[in-house]
Amino acid sequence: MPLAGVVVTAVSGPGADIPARDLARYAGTSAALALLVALGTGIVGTASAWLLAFYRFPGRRVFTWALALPFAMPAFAMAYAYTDLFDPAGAVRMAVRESAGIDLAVPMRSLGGAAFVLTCAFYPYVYLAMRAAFASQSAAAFEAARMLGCTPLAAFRRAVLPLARPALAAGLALAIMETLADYGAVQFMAVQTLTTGVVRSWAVFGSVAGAAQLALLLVAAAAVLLLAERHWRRGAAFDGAKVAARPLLPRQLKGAKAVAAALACGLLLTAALVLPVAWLFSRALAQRPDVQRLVDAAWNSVLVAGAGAAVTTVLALALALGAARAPGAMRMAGLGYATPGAALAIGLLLPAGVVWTLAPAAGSFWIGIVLLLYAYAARLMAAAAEPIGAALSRVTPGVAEAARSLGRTEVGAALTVQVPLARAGLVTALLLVFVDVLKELPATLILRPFGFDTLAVMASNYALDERLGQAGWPSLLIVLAALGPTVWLSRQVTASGDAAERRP
Amino acid sequence: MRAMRTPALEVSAVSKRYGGRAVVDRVSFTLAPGQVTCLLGPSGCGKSTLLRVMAGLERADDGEVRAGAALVDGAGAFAAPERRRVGLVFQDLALFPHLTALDNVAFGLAHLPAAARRERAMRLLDELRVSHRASAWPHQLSGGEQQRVAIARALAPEPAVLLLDEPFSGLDGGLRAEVRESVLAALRGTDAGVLVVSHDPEEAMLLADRLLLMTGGRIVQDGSPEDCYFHPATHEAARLLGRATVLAGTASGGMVRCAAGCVPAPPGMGPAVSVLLRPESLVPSADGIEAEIEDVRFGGAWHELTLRLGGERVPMRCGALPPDHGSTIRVTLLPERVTLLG
Repeated sequence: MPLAGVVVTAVSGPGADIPARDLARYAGTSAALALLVALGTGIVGTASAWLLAFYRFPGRRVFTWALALPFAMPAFAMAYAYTDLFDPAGAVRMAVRESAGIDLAVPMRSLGGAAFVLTCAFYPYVYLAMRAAFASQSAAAFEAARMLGCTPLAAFRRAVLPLARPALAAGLALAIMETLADYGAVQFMAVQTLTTGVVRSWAVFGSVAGAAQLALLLVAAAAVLLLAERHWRRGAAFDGAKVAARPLLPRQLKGAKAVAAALACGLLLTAALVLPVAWLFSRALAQRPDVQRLVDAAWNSVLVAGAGAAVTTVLALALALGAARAPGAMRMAGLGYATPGAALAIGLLLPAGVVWTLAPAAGSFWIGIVLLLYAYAARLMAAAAEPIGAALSRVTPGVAEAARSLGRTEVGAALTVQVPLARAGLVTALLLVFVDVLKELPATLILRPFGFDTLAVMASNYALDERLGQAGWPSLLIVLAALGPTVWLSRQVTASGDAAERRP
Repeated sequence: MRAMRTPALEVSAVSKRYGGRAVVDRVSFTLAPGQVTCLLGPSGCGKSTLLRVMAGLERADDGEVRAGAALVDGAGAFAAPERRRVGLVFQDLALFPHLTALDNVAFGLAHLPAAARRERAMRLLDELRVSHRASAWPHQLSGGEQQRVAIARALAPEPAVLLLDEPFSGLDGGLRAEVRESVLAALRGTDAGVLVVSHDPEEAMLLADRLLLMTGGRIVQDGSPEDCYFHPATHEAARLLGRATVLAGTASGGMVRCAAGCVPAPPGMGPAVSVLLRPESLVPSADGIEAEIEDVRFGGAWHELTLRLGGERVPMRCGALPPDHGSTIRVTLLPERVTLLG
């Protein structure tokens, strides 16, 4: 429905007069940014997953789950911290100028800067996907390659990496989708992408049709991306091949190599989490927060995130249970995930407008909330359905059939047998959506009822006014709220590998 | 003559411990080139760990491993698996799912030019009678075909030693025998020292020139299949290879007497002796001991009788039932098929 909304608005709307030159410029920037982030997250995510899966070095156990924590950090918060750090009048440049007498000119407000920040924010998608792939498949392939004369590096290149290709494709696709969908970070760093274009033409120029045209481009890009990912994974019919999971025994690194490995992981964690959080914190401490607004916004955030998570998970469960019958529905959900929130929101404005004109004024607040939840569900459905589907697929069909033969109805069997068995997948989905909604900005910005602030919206508003210290408080609260679920999620993904390792 | 040559692989006093427990405990043996040795033991006895140490996937905690003349593990030295010329067929086969059957076999031939690589891989697939599936993906192959491709892949780099971990465990019945025959033929065509790990005694004896029996991390017997079967070194070794009946015997005057009859006793034995019998240790004989037949089972080429001898139940296998078969039978012990344990 939101997709139809985008199309109808884009085609029918009056005054849709964005010059083609601007369209091309937005699209070009988006494409360049996506490419750079894909490159960055691909290298950083794969390399860190490889280090942690194949080698043993000091701190490895902690890094294994800690490297996924930047997932809790909203990209816009990362952007605030880095832009401020490397500002001409910022701390780093001042310090270098005074101590070394050199002007360290790092233009953070640029394509390169944005790519750096988004790489830091989105590499966990690749890291987690690769980590899981390495843990599940690689031991057998790696050892087999060694037995056939490959050095460890050659075995990695010729056997392990090709096997992990589907995981790499999935991780990269997520990182790129998030890049295309990002609004807060690029907007603050003055990089004009399609998504900022959508929000700008709606908010600044008041042109819903113009926004919809840009959104249409985004949807098209997302669809292309989805097809590309599917194509890249198609050679992955080998997912089902008979390869027993054998514990991968990591090799002990010694001396300088061990230090280098620990340092590399430490540096990554510092760049993607510790440094920006510490900086935001130090800036925030200098400010007196508006406690009442913060509490209200935090309450709103947790409320919509919780409600969004619940609604989305229930729908995703229904989707996953029915996936066998209607594979098309799953694919549509995938497109929803690929579609940036801004585009979804624009698509929803048309039907929303109809509802608003019909409804009495008093109901408009709740209509807004429902629309918001609807947008979250549409966007995050695929992300939630994925772990649920994976958990359900581990429940052998025989179990459900046994329940049927013992007199349960189809729904009864699903509720009493399949759902409890897939509990871990359900919790994963719930937390995933919760964290994603906490960080969501553009759709919330466009669809929220008037005067309804979430932490993300509040941070964005402060940042727009260049009040970074004040923006720090809501940003940090988001990190705080998202950290717990993220730790749980991360441990969940990496647990399989660790459990196998503890066995002799 | 074979024994005179340098062993393909030599394991001396190798131990491997996990958390203080010795999974492999001071194991020593050699593999001769061109010979098929079978390592037989129950699950969890340390067979697979020993195999991984030999392959170089694990490092021995004690002892030495030599490949040919070179020390590859022990005394501070350690050669990586890819430098040992040791091939391994994994129990789960570990075929590369992203490569076709042909490319799987060609994987270990990276040093050859593409054409030679392809040619050699094709020849091996042909030898194992799966060349018609060369362009298939692993998941499209049947269990037997996967098995053959995995073995062709391990043979491709011409290893000096080939280790096979339960290579036929995934197959059943007739297919198993058929794959075993073609694999054995291919293995005999090489000069590699071959070690097959198995927990199936019948298969081990059919395959092997030589048997190694392993329990609790130790090699308990090393000998020909016949020798291991009829003259097990310990009770455990006896049980590993099939049904064994233990009768109490007493030694006196150079003879051991038990419920099933008498056999000559080696000097210095006794007085209490355990007499180990196989179902094949007893044969019908007109001047033997009379035994009551409790049960007769038809097993195809043979009959399986359960005899009652002096209060003991003793199984016996014989080709055809004797003409005078009724409720009793006269049997005698074959001394060469009996083991006495002090």
